[in-house]
Amino acid sequence: MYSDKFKQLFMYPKYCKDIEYTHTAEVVYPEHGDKVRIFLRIENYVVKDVAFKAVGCPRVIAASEAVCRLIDGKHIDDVKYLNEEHVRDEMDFHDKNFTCINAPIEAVKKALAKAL
Amino acid sequence: MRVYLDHAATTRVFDEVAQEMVKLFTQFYGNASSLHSHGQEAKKLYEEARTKIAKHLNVEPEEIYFTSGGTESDNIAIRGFLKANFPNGGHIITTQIEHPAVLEVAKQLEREGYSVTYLKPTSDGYVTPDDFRRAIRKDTVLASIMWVNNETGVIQPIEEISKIAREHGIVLHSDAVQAVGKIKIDARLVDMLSASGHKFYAPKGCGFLYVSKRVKVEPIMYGGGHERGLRSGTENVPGAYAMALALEIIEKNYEVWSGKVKRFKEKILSAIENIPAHHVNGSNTIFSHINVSFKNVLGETLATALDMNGISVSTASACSSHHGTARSHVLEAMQLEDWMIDGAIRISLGYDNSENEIEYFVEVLSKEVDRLRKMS
Repeated sequence: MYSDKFKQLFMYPKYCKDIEYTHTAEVVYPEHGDKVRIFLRIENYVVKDVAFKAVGCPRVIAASEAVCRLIDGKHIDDVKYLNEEHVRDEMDFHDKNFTCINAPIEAVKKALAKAL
Repeated sequence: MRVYLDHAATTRVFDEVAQEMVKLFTQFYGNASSLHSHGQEAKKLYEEARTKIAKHLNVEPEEIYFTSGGTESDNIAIRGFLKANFPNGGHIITTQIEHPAVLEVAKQLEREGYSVTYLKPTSDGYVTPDDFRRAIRKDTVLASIMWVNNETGVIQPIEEISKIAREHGIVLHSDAVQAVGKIKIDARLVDMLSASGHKFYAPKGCGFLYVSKRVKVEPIMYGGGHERGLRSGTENVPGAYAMALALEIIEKNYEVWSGKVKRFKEKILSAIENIPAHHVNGSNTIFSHINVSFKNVLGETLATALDMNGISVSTASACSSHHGTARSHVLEAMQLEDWMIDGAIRISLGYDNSENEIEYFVEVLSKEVDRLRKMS
């Protein structure tokens, strides 16, 4: 059973949208069938807008939305410290057997690497 | 709205069955093996149930053995038959698409020295009589071929396989868990047949095994010698009674109910036709099953989205954990494309579904497929 927070993220994602981005990166977990692309618009070291596209399990979609919520409006120095625990808390999903939620985190770090 | 479309997993017990069971729990609670009147009252109901079930399957009451469900029936049939007749090994034919209750038994038998051929299905989900014939060896002693596949709903060619098995003197068992209560079955086509109560509106924890009088089977567990020595354990009178009553109710309403479910299936299939890039998995399927995949949407994701709309369907392929995705062995055996395997959901209709539920389902299905695809 998923939490209400999880349901909100999975069913009503606000960040699955088209934006004018400055940086983007994709992460694929082929063994899980998961693919996440993160789009960032970075201005003056601040994430001014963020979006995602995802094909994957419900956890990957919810995690992608959670990641976007967590980093929107943040300075990139703060975004660098984004980790699995932050995302799990935002999702209210704590089953550590599922590592697929790392896909959007990796995508953000990969996109950010190009900004640093 | 909550809509249950997972009747292949289990069914809701009919109200009338549940009510009658309460009487058995509270009024006819005697041990059917006891000689006093409490026991004999229960025994009478138990034997009546056996007779009704035997009639439903066109066999003799002495050929029906009550068990705890499909898994136990499959185990007794396969292991009990080999133990009684071929304890030192032999060749067995089964299929790659069996339920684990058969497949895992076959794998264990291989470890014990038996030889097993697993027939490969066509991409439409059925094994062919020709392949069955080709698999027969001089030392083939048993075949176990399911009547209807649980994931795809594909009806297997039991009648043709039965003829071939008889020609070669091979004993044929069929796991008919998904068939009993849905299609009319003449169990005499096979030598042994397994069924499970909770798949046809009786409760969980009860099932039965048909064993033809011609076939010798030994018990695989020991105790008080119930069920003519084949299956020890105090008789589950309410379970047996419930199965017989549920089948009676289905028989009585069969034309109307099966017609309704067929209509619902057609309605869903025609809604699916309007959704681009889909694949219906399996052909010649039972009227209650639809197994369908949508490109760019994982089955687990769609099933979860439907669940969050109050609709229960199932998926055989799911991202299990750090081990990656657990895929359907049935769809893999059919050698479908990756997206069809990963994207499959199983919709299984029941006699208790309503027109409103189906309308709601088709509306939500197309909305959710569209929404999830837009995310990609």
